[in-house]
Amino acid sequence: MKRWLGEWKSLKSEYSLMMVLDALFGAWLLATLAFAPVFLALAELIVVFMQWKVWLFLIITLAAMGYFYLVAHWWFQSLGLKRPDHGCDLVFLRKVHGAFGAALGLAGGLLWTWVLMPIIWI
Amino acid sequence: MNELLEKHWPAIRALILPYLFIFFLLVYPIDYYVTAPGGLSDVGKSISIDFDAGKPIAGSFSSTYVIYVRKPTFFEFFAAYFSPYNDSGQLTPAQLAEDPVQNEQIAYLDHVTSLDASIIVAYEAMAALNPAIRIVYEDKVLVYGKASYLSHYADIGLGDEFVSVLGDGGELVIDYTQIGTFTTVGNLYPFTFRTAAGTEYTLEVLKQPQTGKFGLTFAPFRLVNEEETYPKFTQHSVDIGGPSGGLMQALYIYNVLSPVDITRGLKIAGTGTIGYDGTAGDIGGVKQKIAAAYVYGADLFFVDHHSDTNVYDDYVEALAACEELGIQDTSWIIPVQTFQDCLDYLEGLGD
Repeated sequence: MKRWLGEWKSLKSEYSLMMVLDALFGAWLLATLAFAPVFLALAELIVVFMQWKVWLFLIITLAAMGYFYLVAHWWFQSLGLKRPDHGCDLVFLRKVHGAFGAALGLAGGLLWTWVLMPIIWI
Repeated sequence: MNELLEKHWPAIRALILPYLFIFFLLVYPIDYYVTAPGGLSDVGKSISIDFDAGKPIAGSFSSTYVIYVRKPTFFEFFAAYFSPYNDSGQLTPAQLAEDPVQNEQIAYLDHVTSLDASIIVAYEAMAALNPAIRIVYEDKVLVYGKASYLSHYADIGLGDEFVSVLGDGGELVIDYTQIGTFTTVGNLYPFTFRTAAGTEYTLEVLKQPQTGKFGLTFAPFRLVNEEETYPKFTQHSVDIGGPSGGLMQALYIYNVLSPVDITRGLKIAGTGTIGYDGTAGDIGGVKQKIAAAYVYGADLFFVDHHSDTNVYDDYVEALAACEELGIQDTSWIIPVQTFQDCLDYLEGLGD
């Protein structure tokens, strides 16, 4: 946590907010385009194989983890491409944010599959 | 962003055509249909009865639903095509000409009117045992279909009640079966309808020269008079249409009113429409409903059965579906002809 805060401070001093947001937007756009067919295909499989919906939602959870990880990966890769002479540890930040994103995908997926779906799904 | 695009541009350029092709397979609708297993729907979610018979209910009653995909994508169609659980096929020209919105409205009307039929059957059966239970209903003729050539297509609501039409020679026709006798092709006639809220409206409807018809379909229904019926009930909005839950709805309502829990702690599913005389009627998608009930672990599955020799009989289809899906044990599938058959079967299970 201490190191993560330190690296963030270093990153903020080296890059402008616009550069960070621009890199995030690019990473989000590419990752969304990459995963759009995956999510679309899984959603269509749920319609056709409703009886296996729990398993399919678990696969969607894995896809969501990969999606968030890829956003973090490309975000920091993009920042690295902007300023090759950076001082902060972009690989470390990528790992932390990738792990955080994947955990978010896992938590959201499990919450949906095991808690929300049985409540709202007929 | 530009740096990222530049770095990955060789990969993007190589993948763009396969990507667009995959997207096409995932979004382009084709003129086919897919029927897939849906699941079990707890009847208690579609209706609640304001009555406490003072008993715990250990089991449950569920209807089964199927998923019908009209115009699936290539991907959906191929995924369904290779699964034994699903049925798929090409839409006929008549099916393609159907208005999907109207079909949804008819499915909703079927569901609502089947709830009324279930209430009538269950209340009448229980009223014989408990004089406090009272069921009052009215016979009504409702708009059940509209052809695209109907004049005032948008103004006449599906489910609105037919009241009368002023026919040739000033004849006031209130029997919908006599409309054709008292009207002439090419003329306009004032039809009077009543909405569910009780508002009456009159529209001049043309008997079309091209078809010789008005383009209206009527069907008779019995609708419960909620004010005079005891105990009160509340219908809840659900996303499931069609009349195939009628039999299970009647059993659920009967069980709420009954002093004894007839579920015996079982997870009871089933399918079949319910007639006003308690007869269980034909439904569609038997294979998918059997698959859904099996996957979701129903203890019993009631299905209507009227003939051993008719391959389209629902029970015969259910047994054939079990064989096709590799379901060895069929003892949980119970053939019934009437609502009373279900009660007799459950009674026979003992405690």
